[in-house]
Amino acid sequence: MLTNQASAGAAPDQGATPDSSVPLLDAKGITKSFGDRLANDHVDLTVQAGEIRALLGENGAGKTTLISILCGQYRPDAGHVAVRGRTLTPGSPRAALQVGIGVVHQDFRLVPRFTVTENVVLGTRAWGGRKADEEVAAQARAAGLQLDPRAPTWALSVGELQQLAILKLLYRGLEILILDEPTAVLSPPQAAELFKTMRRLAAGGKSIIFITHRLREVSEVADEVTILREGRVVADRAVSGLDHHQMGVLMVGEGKTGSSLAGGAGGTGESMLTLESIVVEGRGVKALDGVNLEVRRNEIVGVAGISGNGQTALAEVAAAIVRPASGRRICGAHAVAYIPEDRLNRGLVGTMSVSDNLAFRRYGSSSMSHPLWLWTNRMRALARQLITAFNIPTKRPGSAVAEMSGGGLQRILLARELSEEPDLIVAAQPTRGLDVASAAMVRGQLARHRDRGAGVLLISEDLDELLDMSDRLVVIFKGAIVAEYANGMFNRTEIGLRMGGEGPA
Amino acid sequence: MSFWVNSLSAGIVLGTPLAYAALGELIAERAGVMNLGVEGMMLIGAVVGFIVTLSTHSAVAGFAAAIASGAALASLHAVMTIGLRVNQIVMGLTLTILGGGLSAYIGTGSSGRRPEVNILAIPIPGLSSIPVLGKVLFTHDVFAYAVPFIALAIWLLLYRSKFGLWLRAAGEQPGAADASGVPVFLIRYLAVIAGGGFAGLAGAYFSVVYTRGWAEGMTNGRGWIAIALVIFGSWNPIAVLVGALLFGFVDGLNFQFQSVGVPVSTHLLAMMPYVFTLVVLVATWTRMRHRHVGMPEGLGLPYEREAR
Amino acid sequence: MAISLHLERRMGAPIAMRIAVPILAVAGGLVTGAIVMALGGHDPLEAYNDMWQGSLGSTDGLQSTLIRATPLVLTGLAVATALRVGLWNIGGEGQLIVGAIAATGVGLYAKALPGPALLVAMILAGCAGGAVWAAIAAIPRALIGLNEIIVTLFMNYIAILFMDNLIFGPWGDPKAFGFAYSRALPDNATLPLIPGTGVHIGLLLAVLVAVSAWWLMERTPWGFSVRVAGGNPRTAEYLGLKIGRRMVIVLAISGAIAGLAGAIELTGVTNRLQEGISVNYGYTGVLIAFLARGRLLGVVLAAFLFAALVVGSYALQTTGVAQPIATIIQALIIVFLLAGDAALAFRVRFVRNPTMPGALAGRGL
Repeated sequence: MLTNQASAGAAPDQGATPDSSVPLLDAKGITKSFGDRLANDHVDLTVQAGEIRALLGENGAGKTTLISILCGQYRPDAGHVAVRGRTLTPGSPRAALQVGIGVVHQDFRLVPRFTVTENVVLGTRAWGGRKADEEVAAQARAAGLQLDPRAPTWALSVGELQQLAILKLLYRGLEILILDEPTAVLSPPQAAELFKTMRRLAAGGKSIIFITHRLREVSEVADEVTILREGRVVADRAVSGLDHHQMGVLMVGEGKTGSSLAGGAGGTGESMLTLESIVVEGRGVKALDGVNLEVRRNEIVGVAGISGNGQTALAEVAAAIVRPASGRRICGAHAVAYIPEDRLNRGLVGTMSVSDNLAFRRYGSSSMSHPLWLWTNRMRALARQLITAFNIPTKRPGSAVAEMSGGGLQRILLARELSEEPDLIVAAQPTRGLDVASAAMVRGQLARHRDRGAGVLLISEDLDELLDMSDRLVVIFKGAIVAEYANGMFNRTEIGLRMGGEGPA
Repeated sequence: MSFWVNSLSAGIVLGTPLAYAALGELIAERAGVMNLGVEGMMLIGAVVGFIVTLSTHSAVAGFAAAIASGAALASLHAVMTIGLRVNQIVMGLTLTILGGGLSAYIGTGSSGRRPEVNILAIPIPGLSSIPVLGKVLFTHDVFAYAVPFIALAIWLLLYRSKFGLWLRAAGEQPGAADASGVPVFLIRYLAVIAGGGFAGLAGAYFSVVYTRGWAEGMTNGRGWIAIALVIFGSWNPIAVLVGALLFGFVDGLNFQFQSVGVPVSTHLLAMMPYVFTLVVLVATWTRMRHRHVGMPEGLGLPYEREAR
Repeated sequence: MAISLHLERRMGAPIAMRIAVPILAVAGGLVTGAIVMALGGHDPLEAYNDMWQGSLGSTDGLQSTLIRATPLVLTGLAVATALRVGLWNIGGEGQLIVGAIAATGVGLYAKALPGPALLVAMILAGCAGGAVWAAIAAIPRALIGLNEIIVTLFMNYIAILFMDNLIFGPWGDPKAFGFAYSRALPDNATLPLIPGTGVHIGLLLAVLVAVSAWWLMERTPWGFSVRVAGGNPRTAEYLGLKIGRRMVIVLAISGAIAGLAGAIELTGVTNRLQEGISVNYGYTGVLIAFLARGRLLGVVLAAFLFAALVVGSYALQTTGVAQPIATIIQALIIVFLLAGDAALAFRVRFVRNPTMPGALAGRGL
């Protein structure tokens, strides 16, 4: 469906009224697993022409997987997608484009070296040149976007890149526009502009699906909302009937308050880590915008929040991997352990063996080596010890780490970092993607070390886990700590709302 | 005076095959695939072109066969690196060694023979009588005349056509290209195979036109020069052509100096283009990355759609 | 309905498969070589028998094989060593030549030195020359990230021209009549033979270097840190390791090993600096390192195999098979190995697609 750009430039008021007899997009039973992780579990999604639908959910809920399937990058294990009643060939970006589906990904997927025009026309019959420049300029004006067709893409700001990505979809006359967390890189006024554009496009007959975790946006601009949780659809209805409280509950689920693993001596000991007014720059907006946080001995400080609100930057500043643009980090700990969220790429070396990886902190010490000789038998002995203690699932300690499951990788990381008896532990998403036994082990270890006297900064997207384990809980939203709760005062629903950006009820 | 005329003329003759091989490699690299097997493909083209020309008495047949043989070897490279995602460096080197071995193997017994064939040399009537310039520019064969047009055609293809846009996108950001509906894999296959064809042609030029004979390893590392030329010309076809002529000229000077007995170190002279390119690369590498010119960003990396 | 082929990544392949792949690759190369021979109307079995007799089945052959294996062990080691820090050293050719140049320089101008001292000086000069040549490529890579493959490729060509300049110029043999070699080196600049054999001690040096490289990379804490840096630079940074420094040092070591090969060829085989002092040793070294799966001790075996193929091919007279068959077989082995590696990494799946009428599906192959 590579329609001529002329029709896309039609005046906004001439929109088609949504034809509710045949939905524009109809996805049924979409199921997709990665290894043993079920990302989408029989997901249904229906969108009419002229509708703005929000796709709401925490990370790991399956939103990105779903849209990757819709745009043809992934093929689903089961289920199918139909546009105007005709089934879409799975796993083919070309087929998805031909049928009118276009996505603005979080990473935009543009070619930096090309001009704006070249990026817009890439994949169509045009190649660029003056005529295309003029068409692109006209298209941009009609859509209310400010872009110079001759500008090199690498010179554009993040907001402009997003506009370019949207312009690309409009130029091709695509009818179903999917935006993945579009406001993540926009300032509030820019976001407002984006919403105006979205309304204009929907009025013109396009269908828009946008992924978000911010409840306010859903009520501000969406007509309908589909809420995903743990790979399944938990709600699918009109926005007008829902208030934020209900949305928040659906997004994070009902649950208990209070805790079971928490309750250490409590944070009255010395401070292991103090962060004062930490600012970290990010893409377009600040990743951390004035964070104040303290972690003391014998306590687990849980950080709740939807992924993308500054958690990675917070973990990296806390572990001293990244220096903040401004603010102070004061660390009273002798030994700091860091459990990164990207286990394989940041904490381990995939091509080296399990026992090698376990030795990363010790191989230079006199117990393991002499400057001229590495005692591999001692390394192996240590490895065997740690493998037993942490139940690392490997039959041969000499096998490469890259082949292990998520649970195995995490056990290796924990075994290596925690056996140094650290005073400060920074753990980012430590149980994400793990099997039940491994997740339980991780939590048990963190609690044990907290009891032993360490301070733990636990950043997690699993709200239940945080409620269970934290002595103190803070909520991070848009790079700042927006709420703090002491143990016993955890209210799941309220925390869920804060995670979605809502102020005090 | 005739010294310089001979040198310049030789420069064009020597620069022509370099240009063809380098332009072919440029196409492949612009699509994102590094082909270090150019030397091997040139050798195969040289031996196949020579043998076919000998037996059919037709240079056209010879060149056609040479192009096909270079393309065939390149298609092996394409299947392995694009289809099976194998390491492009190792595969390319292996093909250079394979091409060298195959050509020496096939070519045993062919050295010392001469094809009695019209090598398509066409002095342009009238223009070739111009003193100096006539000898230098207008008494060459069809391929030498064609090369500037081919370079121009490639430039037009890359920068003024849809296919060229798609090819450049496949080389810079294959993920973005794929998401835009560009058939990345198909384009890469075509680019690599075309590059091989060019290399085969270049090889045949050496054996059928330049030396009119076959000897084992006769291209003498010129395939590597072709790869270097792509970098020297910053992946731009016109610059690559100029570079090829420059290297060809220096190469030609070499022979001229030797035959005349001038005690100038032609080897030091021949080193200059390389040293110069290296210095320029070091000086501009960082700026190139920031200003986004030069090496295609996706060069050398295999593309997988479902990579997580 | 359309059926298409898809490659799916495996999560690790069984050990049996991983050991089988190099063995099958060698077999595949030999079998395909036999097919090539047969296509030319020759008898492959007889040819292989001749090759065997010429390389491993006779004392002379075995000695020639060992001599031929020496530079290959070293260039293979050079590549494998650089891989430890994550770099591709395809400049072995140039580093070998510069090593030979440096050794020649010492041999021609310091010939007053007593025998063993001269030899030692030449060998050390060879290592130094190769190391410097490699460092020139390593430093830009460490400082600004300039691709070392490009630089080492260029340096190969510069080295060859540098050598040509010397042997056609100041170091040329006045009696050479335009042939491409230098003046002869003094008699005491020749590597002694291993007592009782016709093989020069360069072989022992090569094995010694292999063991030392293995010790350095696999059994010292510093080598361990190098492997971490080469395996995952981000993890290495987190652990506080300086990656740039390691890159330069390891690449210099790699170059020194290749330079040593040049010095050994000079003093053990050719006795002059000449064109053809390296017969693609540097590039073949990359293939050897690959066949050995990057294992430093495995390089010795792989080099030996490749040397046997080449030496054996010189004995192919009666069958009429041309000598270059050896290089063809070497290359084919690597092609099969690459294909085998792909089989280890991916699984093939056939998938049925419902096709929309008229839609062009973009294939992923």
